[in-house]
Amino acid sequence: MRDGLGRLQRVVLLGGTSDIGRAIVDRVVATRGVAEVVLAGRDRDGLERGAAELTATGVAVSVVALDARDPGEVVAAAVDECLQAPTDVVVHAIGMLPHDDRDGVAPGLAAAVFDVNTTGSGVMLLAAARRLQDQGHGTLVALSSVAAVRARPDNLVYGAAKAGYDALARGLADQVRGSGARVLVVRPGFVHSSMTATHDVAPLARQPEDVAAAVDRALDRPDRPGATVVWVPAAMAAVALGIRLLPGRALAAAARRIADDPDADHHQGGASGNDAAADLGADPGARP
Amino acid sequence: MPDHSPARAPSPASAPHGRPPSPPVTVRSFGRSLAGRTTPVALTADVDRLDPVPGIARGSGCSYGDQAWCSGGRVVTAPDDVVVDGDHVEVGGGVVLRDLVARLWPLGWTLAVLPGSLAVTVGGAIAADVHGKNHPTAGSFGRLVARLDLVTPTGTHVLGPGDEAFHATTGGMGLTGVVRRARLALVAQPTAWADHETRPIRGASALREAMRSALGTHHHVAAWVDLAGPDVRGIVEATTVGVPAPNGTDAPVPGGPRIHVPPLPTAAITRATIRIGNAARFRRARATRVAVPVADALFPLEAVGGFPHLYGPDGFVQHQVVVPDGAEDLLDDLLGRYRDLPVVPALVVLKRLGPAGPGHLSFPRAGWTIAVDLPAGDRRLGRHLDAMDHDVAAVGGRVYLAKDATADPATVAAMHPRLDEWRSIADRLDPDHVVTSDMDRRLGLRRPARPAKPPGGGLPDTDQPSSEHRTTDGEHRDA
Ligand SMILES: Cc1cc2nc3c(=O)[nH]c(=O)nc-3n(C[C@H](O)[C@H](O)[C@H](O)COP(=O)(O)OP(=O)(O)OC[C@H]3O[C@@H](n4cnc5c(N)ncnc54)[C@H](O)[C@@H]3O)c2cc1C
Ligand SMILES: NC(=O)c1ccc[n+]([C@@H]2O[C@H](COP(=O)([O-])OP(=O)(O)OC[C@H]3O[C@@H](n4cnc5c(N)ncnc54)[C@H](OP(=O)(O)O)[C@@H]3O)[C@@H](O)[C@H]2O)c1
Repeated sequence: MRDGLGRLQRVVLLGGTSDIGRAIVDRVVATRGVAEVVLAGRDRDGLERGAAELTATGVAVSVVALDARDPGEVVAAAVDECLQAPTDVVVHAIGMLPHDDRDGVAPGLAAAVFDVNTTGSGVMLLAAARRLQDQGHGTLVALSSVAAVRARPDNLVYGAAKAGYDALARGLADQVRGSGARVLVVRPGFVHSSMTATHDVAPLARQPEDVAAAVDRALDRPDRPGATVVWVPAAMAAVALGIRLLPGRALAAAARRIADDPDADHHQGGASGNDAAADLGADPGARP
Repeated sequence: MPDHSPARAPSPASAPHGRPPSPPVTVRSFGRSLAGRTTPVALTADVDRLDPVPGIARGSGCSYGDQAWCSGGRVVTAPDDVVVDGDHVEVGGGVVLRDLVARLWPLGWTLAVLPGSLAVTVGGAIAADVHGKNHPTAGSFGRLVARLDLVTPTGTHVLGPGDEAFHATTGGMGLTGVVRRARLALVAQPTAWADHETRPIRGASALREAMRSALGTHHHVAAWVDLAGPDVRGIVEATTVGVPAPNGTDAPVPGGPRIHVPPLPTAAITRATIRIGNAARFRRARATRVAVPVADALFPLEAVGGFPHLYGPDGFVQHQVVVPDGAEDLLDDLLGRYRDLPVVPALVVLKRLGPAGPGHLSFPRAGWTIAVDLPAGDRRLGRHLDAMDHDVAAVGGRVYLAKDATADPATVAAMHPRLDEWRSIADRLDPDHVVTSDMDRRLGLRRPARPAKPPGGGLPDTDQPSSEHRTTDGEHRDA
C-alpha cells in the first residue's frame, strides 16, 4: 500500500526488459521505497538480469512469463498472476516499432505489430485495470505514444496500433475512476531506447529517465478526467495538437522530404525487409 | 472458453447486510495525506455476523493514517445509542465521546480515560486502546470496558476482561471485528471545572523533571514542546478535574469547534510560521494556576475544526512513539533528529505513560511518548522516520498504530513481540481474513506483509535465486 508520504510497496512491470519501463521502476524504487517488484516478459535471460540488478538494491523481485502474442486467456492469466498481492503501480511498457518506409511494413510484421501493440497489450490493460478496480487502489501506467494521436506516414502501422491501445487505456481510465484505482496514459515523443536505436532521432527526443520523472510526478497528482494523459515532454501536447490539425497532404509531404534526405535514409536498415514468416520474437533485428 | 478472470468477490456494495447498496465514498486520514475509496455500511440490529466481504470498522476517522478504511471493500459503522446504568454506561460503538460526555458531565460522571480529541468514537477508543494525559494513574481505555459485543465473520462474541479475544480487540485496530456495543465503567466528576497549572521550561531534561513532579500533584500532565526554536523548550500543563466551581456555576460541556479552517490552496504551516508562532507562544507563557473548564484544559484542539487544512493540499502525518523509561538518551537523541528533519516539526506533545495493560497490540508502556505533526509533502522524511522507528524498536519502544502512516512492516513486527499470539486469536475470530484495512495490508498485521512464496511462479525451467523472494529488513527504504 501507498503510505502517508507517497511511498509504495509493490510495483509490477509488464515488459520487464523495456528501457522506459525499467527507468520508471528504477525511479520509484529509488525515491519511493518500493519493497517488491515483479518483472513480466518473454526474454527470460533479460528478465533475470534485471531481477539481479534490482535485487542488489535490496528489493524483493520475482519474474513472470508473459508473451503478448499468446492467446488472450493465457495473457490475462499471466497478468493476474503478477497481481496476486495488493499492487500500487502496474507499468505496461510492451510494444514494437517497425521500420515503416516507402515500401511499407511487410504483412507479417504489420500483423505482429497489431498483435503485440493492440491485441495482446489491450488484453493486459483490461486484465490489470480490472484487478486494480477490484483492489480499490493502485495506478495503471499505460505507455502509449504521441503517434497514437495521429499516425504519420512513416509510422503508420505503429501509430494505428497505438491509437487502438490509447483509446482503450483512456476508456479504462474513465471506467475505473471512482473505484480508487486510476489509469495514466503516457504519450512520449521520441525516446532513446532499444526500440528506437535504429530509427532516426526525431525533434524533442528524450531519455527514458525523462519519462520516468514525468510519471513519478503524475503519480502524486489527484485523479481528474483532465489529468489522465501525461505528455513527455509536456510541450508534446502542443506539437501533437498541431499535427492533428495539419492536413494529411502536408504531413505526407513532410515525410517524403525526410525520406528523400540521403542522410536520413541510411538509418533504415534491414528490419523492414522481414517477411511474414520471420519469427519476430526470436529475431531482435525484426523489432527495431 | 475457460474463464481465467479472477474469482470476483461479491461487490462490497451488494445488498450490505440487507440494506440497499450505497455508493463508494472517498475517505481520508486525519492528516489528509492518505485517501481511499470504500463503501460505507451501517451495522444494523439484525446482523449478528459480518458478510464475507473485505471490510473494517470505522468511527470518526480521527486516526492519522489508513487504519479505518478498506480500499475496494467496506467500512462498517456501529450504532450510537447511550444508556446510563448506575455507575456504568451502555453505549453503541459508534457513539462520539463529545456526545457521551455531554450526557455524563451534567450527571456528575465521566470516563476515567479520554484522549486529546473528543471527536473519536467509543469503538475507535477501544480499537486504539487510547490513553489520556493521566495514563500513569488511569491506564488506557480498555481498563474501563466491562463488556463488549464483537461482531465478526464467525458471529457475535460477548467478551470481557480476561477473554483473550477481548485483549486482542483493545488495541487491535478494528482487525478482530466490529465493536457493536460496550459497557463502560464511570467515575465521579463533581464539576466540569479544572485546576490548571502551566509552567514554561527550557531544556529537555528540565521538562521531564517538571512533568514528573507535576504528576505528584495532578492527574493529567502533558508538555507542549517547541522544536523549531534555537533550543528545546516547552510548556508543562498539569490538570486536576472536578474541582469546586469558582463562582458556583457549572462549566459548559464541550461544544465542539468554534473556529473552522477551510481547505487552503497552499500550506499555512511552514518552518517560518511555526518558528514565529512557537516563539510567541513560549514568550507569552507564564507560570500560572487557574480554574478553567475541563474542556479548555484537556481538549484545546477541540476549539479549532479542520486544522489539518493548515498543512495545505499535501496534508501531514503524525509520528508518535513511546520510549521506555531508562532510554531517555534515545529520547534526547530523537528530539535532536526531529529538529534536523527536512520538514518542520509543527506540533509536538510529550506525555508520560504508565505500565502496559493487557492488550496484545496496545501502545502504552511505561516511559515517554512524543507525538510530532510533520508536513507530508517531502518524501525524504520517510527514511528519517524509518531510522527513528528502528532505534525505538531496539530499546523496546513502539510506534502508535493509531497514528501511523509511514512505518516499515518489519519494524512494526519487531515492536510487537505478541504479534503472533494476536494473529492466531484474530484468525480464530475471522479465519478467512475478511476483516482487513489498508493499514493491515500496508503493515501486514494480520498476515506478514511479504508473501511467503513469490506471487509469480517464475519462468519455466527457472531456478534462479533472483526469482525468489528475499525477506527485506527495512533497509530498502534507504535505497
Ligand atoms: C486531535 C487528536 C488528538 C488525539 N489525541 C489522542 C490522545 O491523546 N490519546 C490517544 O490515545 N489517541 C489520540 N488520538 C487518536 C485517536 O484517539 C485514535 O486514532 C482513535 O482510534 C480515533 O477514533 P475514531 O472513532 O476516529 O476511529 P477511526 O479513526 O475511524 O478508526 C480508528 C481505528 O478504530 C477502529 N474502529 C473504529 N470503530 C470501531 C468499532 N466500532 N469496532 C472496532 N473497531 C473500531 C478502526 O477500524 C480503526 O482501526 C487523537 C486524535 C486526534 C485527531
Ligand atoms: N522509445 C520511444 O520512442 C517510445 C515512444 C513512445 C512510446 N513508446 C512506448 O513505450 C513502451 C516501452 O518502449 P521502450 O522504448 O522502452 O522500448 P523497449 O526497450 O524496446 O521495450 C519494449 C518492450 O516490449 C517487449 N515486447 C515486445 N514484444 C513483446 C511480446 N510479444 N511479448 C512480451 N513483450 C514484448 C520487449 O520485450 P523483449 O525484451 O522480450 O523484446 C520490451 O520489454 C512501448 O510500449 C513503446 O511503444 C516508446
